[in-house]
Amino acid sequence: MSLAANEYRLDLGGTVLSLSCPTERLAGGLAHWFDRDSSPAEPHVRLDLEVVSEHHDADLPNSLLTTKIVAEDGSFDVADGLITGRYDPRLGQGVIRAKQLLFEVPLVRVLEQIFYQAFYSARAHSQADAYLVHSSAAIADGGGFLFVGPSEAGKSTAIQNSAAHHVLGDEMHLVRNTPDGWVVEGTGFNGLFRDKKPGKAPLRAIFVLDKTPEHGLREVSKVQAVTTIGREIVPPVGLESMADETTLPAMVDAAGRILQSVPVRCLEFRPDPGFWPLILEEFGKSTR
Amino acid sequence: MAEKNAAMNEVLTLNPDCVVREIGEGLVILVPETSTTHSLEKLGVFIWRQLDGKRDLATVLEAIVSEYEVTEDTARADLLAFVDELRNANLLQAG
Repeated sequence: MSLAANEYRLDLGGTVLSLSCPTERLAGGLAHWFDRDSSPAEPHVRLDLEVVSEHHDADLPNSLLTTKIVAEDGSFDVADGLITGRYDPRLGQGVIRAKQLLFEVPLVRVLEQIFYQAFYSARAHSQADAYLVHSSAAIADGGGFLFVGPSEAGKSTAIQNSAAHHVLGDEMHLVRNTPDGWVVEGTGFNGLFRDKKPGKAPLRAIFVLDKTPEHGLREVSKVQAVTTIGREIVPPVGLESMADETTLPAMVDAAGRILQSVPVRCLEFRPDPGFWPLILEEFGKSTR
Repeated sequence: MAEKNAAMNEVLTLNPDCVVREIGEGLVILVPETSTTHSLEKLGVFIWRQLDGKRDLATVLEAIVSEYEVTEDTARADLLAFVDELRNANLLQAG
């Protein structure tokens, strides 16, 4: 089916969301925000995106999931009407009605969270074995490297010191299982760092960040790595669902699966590019 | 949550709402209610496996001293601190 002028298709590692906008201008605005042209691929879910001009009095939540209510008829409400909508998982179709303020920078980053949920809904149709991971990432020497850690751990700092390499981003990446192993791929979702490029590469290693006076790589126990990385996986909850007692175990299990074949280290680093030679010495192509 | 110091005659067991994942030789303990995760390794795993709702902490202490090269005083202090930590994280309940 051809692309309408008011439609924007967001491709996340081959899982495609169609966002049908009220105006061509908004569709263009999404392409600009995500810094990606609309995908020509057939979408896995189709969503009508509506802008609600009504004022929003309540506080904005840190997480859209924790304030989400889903009714039996598939309609949902996030943060007392900040975002409402409906999604039919059988048809892969729905509508998202978001308050006007969420279309303004920097609050678009809050709106992005509903697209995380849309991705997980679409994943059921694309059959992708993939997760969104809060992280920064870069490609170097043909391999993908993911940097994780809690807020303030230094994800943006690490990537600001990676200009010699192919920077995928400092906010959200797709980690996808393929017949050849796990792959890391950039997404259109945005952090503070906009000088990023789309791309993907075999996931060669994951680094848990630790700001220290000197650069170094050290071993991290598997259990500590799974705990840390599990927390950074975006809860795999679709538009049709709410987080429940299965959500956290699913995140940890995903981390455990990824770490079965991807090595993890603690990266002790200070804010300069000097940590890269250590990474490439251990994980560069010539050392494999 | 108010902190409560453990007594050696206490019998404790795991919060049944916790979900446990074995990762290598360690454990990841998940508390879905609070969306928190906790990792245990080595001695932590050993103690965790002893807290079965049958043995009191004095018995657990004997097991630690028998298994590890540690003085009873040090083991008692470590055990009580660890149990308090687990209880404050909502991972334990009375057995």
